[in-house]
Amino acid sequence: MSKVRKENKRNFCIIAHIDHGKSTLADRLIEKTGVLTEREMEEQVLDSMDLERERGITIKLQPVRLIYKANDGEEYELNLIDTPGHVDFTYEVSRSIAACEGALLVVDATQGIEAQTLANLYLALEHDLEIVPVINKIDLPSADPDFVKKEIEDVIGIDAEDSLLISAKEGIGIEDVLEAIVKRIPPPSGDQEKPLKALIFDSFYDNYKGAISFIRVFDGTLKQGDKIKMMSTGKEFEVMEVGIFRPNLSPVDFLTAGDVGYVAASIKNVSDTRVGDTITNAEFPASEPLPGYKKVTPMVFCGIYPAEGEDYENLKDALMKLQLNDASLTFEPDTSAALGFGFRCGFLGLLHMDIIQERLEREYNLNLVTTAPGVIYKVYKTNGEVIELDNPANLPEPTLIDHIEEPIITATIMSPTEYVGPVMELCQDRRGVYQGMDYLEPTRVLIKYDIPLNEIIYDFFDALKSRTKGYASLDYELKGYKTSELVKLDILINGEIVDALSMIVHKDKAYERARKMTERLKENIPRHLFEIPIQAAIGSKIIARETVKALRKNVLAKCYGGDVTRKKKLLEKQKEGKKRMRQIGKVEIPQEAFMSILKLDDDND
Amino acid sequence: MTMIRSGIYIHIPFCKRKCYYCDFNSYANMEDSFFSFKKAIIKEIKTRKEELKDICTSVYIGGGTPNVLPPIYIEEILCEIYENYNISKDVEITIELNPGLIDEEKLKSYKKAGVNRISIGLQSWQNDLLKAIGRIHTVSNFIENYSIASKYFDNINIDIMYALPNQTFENFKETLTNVIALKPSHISCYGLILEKGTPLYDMYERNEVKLADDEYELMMFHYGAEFLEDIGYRHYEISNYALPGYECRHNKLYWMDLHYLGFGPGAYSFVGNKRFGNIKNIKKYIEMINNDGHAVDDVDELSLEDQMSEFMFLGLRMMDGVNDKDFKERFGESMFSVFKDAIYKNIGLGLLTKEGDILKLTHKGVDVSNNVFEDFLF
Repeated sequence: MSKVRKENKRNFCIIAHIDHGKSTLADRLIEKTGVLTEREMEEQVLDSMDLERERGITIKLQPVRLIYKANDGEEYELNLIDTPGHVDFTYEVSRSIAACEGALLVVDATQGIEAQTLANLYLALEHDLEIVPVINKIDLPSADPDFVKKEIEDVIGIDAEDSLLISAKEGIGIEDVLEAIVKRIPPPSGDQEKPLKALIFDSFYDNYKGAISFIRVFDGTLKQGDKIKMMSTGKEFEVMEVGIFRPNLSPVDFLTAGDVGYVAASIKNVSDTRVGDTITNAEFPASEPLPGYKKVTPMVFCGIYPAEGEDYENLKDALMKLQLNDASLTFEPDTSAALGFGFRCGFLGLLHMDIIQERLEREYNLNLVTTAPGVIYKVYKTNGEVIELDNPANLPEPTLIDHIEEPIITATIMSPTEYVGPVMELCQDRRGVYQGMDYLEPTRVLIKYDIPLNEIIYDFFDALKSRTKGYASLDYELKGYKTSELVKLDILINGEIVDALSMIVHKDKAYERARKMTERLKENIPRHLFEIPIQAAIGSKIIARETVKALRKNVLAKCYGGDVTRKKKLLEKQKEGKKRMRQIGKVEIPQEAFMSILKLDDDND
Repeated sequence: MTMIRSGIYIHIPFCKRKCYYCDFNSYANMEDSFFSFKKAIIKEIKTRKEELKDICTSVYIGGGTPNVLPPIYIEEILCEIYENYNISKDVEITIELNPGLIDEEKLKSYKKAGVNRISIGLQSWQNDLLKAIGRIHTVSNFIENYSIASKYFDNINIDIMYALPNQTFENFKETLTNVIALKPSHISCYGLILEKGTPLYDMYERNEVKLADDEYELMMFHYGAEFLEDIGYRHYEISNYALPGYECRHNKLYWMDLHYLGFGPGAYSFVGNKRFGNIKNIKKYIEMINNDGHAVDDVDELSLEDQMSEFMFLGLRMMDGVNDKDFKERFGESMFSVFKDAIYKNIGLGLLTKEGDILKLTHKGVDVSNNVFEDFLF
């Protein structure tokens, strides 16, 4: 397959904001180059997970090789590496960027550049990628390509004169995109005579072939039977199969410098194929590994527990498999008196957390209970010890704490000028500290705030969207830690502390959160035969209280003309519901109660 | 008193108008189908004669509103029953009637056909409340109808309801007082159940009606029970009260977990270890019956465990409770060993009480009976 000379290869990615049309463009490129026949072509081929298609976003990058006969008469091999568009997934983007020489910057002709696009674009510029601006959706009546061109020049400072004007949806200008990839993006450098250096940019687990690594070969060649070595661990494996993406995995004889493909080497242990590691030849090893990636650290944590205790092993297995191609996911075993055995998991952000939870539930058929998300606090104890705390349950006694620091992020919010007021109000409300504001153009503004991360993880993004009619976009990065007056809020149900419901909050927010939590719990805990007090406490001080009244009666149903089956089914449903509940003392708490406190702020008051 | 053996239920799926709270299988404006329905149900009665050989001690004609049909149809249907089934000499034959559509001709015809018990749906003694739930009759319609009916029948049930939209405690008391003045032999007293898919449900969702809260509803239930018991009606089942000797045999048949056949669209049957229901749609029912004499849509084959559970949660609805002798006779073991945990847990909670071989709900247990019943499922 690699008979194509290196000069005729192009490796590129697409950088775009969510729903600016990246996946549609990718589909058109695949269609146009005939990798798949039109019949095989399903909408949005690259978003292989159901979840991605439903949400209309790309989470996992999925490479594909296109063969294109250019106007110069030559045949080119184009490797497209799709990228996710959400702020949580900057890490994924950096992986694909490291495997490419160029990037298509797709901007919606009706909306202009968004905050996250900017962040990803800077990343690409840092890696010296050739940027090809593509202005999409020019078929829409509200499209303003000249305005967007000017914006690209003003905001990013690159020449937008040669921007391509296309409509991926209508198939306008697709040919021009392919030509631009060939003409403007440089062919890969690298030397196939040198010892093998291949960067693992992704991997997944196949039940038959073991762990499969997605690689970009920088130097040397790789074929079946080769002995390879993982440079970070020194572990060696024999190559069973190498291949390319069309977009399904297709075996080839060998991969060589400049190629993007995959390698399977009967790797049973998922942790042996680390994303960012360099593969070399065991017999002729390279002296230095490739730079790899900046290690990402999770910022948001929550407890994940199987709804049915016997699923613990399955949950563990699923988390390990997900971690294989998502190095940013961390987990360690955790136990809760309320929820039993589970895991404390770390994520890049809230969407990442959501996605992982949904994948666990859908792809691995698990029923989960999760706890409120939290961040890592630095707890300075009076004895001089410092603990990094990601689980409120482990907070030491107040008397042993000198002070606590919490992570602060710098939020960059891009918004139409008319929403500056509401945006600032929201940031202020979330304990934000104003850092500055830049007018990008008369109608759009970039607002910077330093905000505690634990305020962001409670639906900040949703609140931002709802206050700006969806027009604002957000990017954030960790700034550092700052001392803060934090307290642990405990929830007592029928007098017993429910560890899984404890959370760390700012002193000033404790009352409001306590009130909302007790209200939500009241709504979600069914009546029992006795009265159940629900209390929120800081230490021994009760700051909020609700009561679930005792159940005094059921529906005194008549029997529907002998329809006993219906009556029985109703009773069965009632009983089944209780089985899935968690027993805390005498009280049965449904999963929904645990989940109901996760989104306290969606009423936006 | 006759021993209750088995029964027959006949479903008349027609109404002049649907009440707002009703989710029973009945339809308005179907006059065109009356004749073909009657033909079909007669065919069904004939075809299924082999399914029930036991002595039949009760027949119940329910609906819907059976009195929307020409009375001659009821005669024909009952004749077909007599011809094909083993009907006991002192059979109880009930017909449900709705006020506003009752006249002397109809009553005479029912009587001639063998009906010996009637059940009239009054629901409440306030015209505005009746209107608000979509009833087609007024209180005076009811009084008129009742007085004629009592000339022909001495065994009459009156259906009343509590927890109706906007119903006050005084309204309910007024209903009770006026009903007992008529001295019916039997009173069914139901709490309104808000069912999905009914107009009332939609009205509730749109905040157009206010319903009684649980506490208020429970107060009405307790008041009704005490009031009726005080003047001699026996509270023999959660929602049913009768003067001595007038407990509804057909009703009890369900709670005693005995066999019955149901004819008509959406009617349920229980024979052998199977519960099954006919298709609900009238047109489809008629079509299926015309094709092969059956219209079964939904079969639930009961395991031994199912049978035991049902025996318990049905039996416990009766205030007399469940007798372990009957359980042993049916299943060969004692309910006190099969349901040991469920029974002692609920005795501990004060919801069940055991008197020798007999297990029954306490007053508190009646209020939260579903919680008790649930424990008898496997």
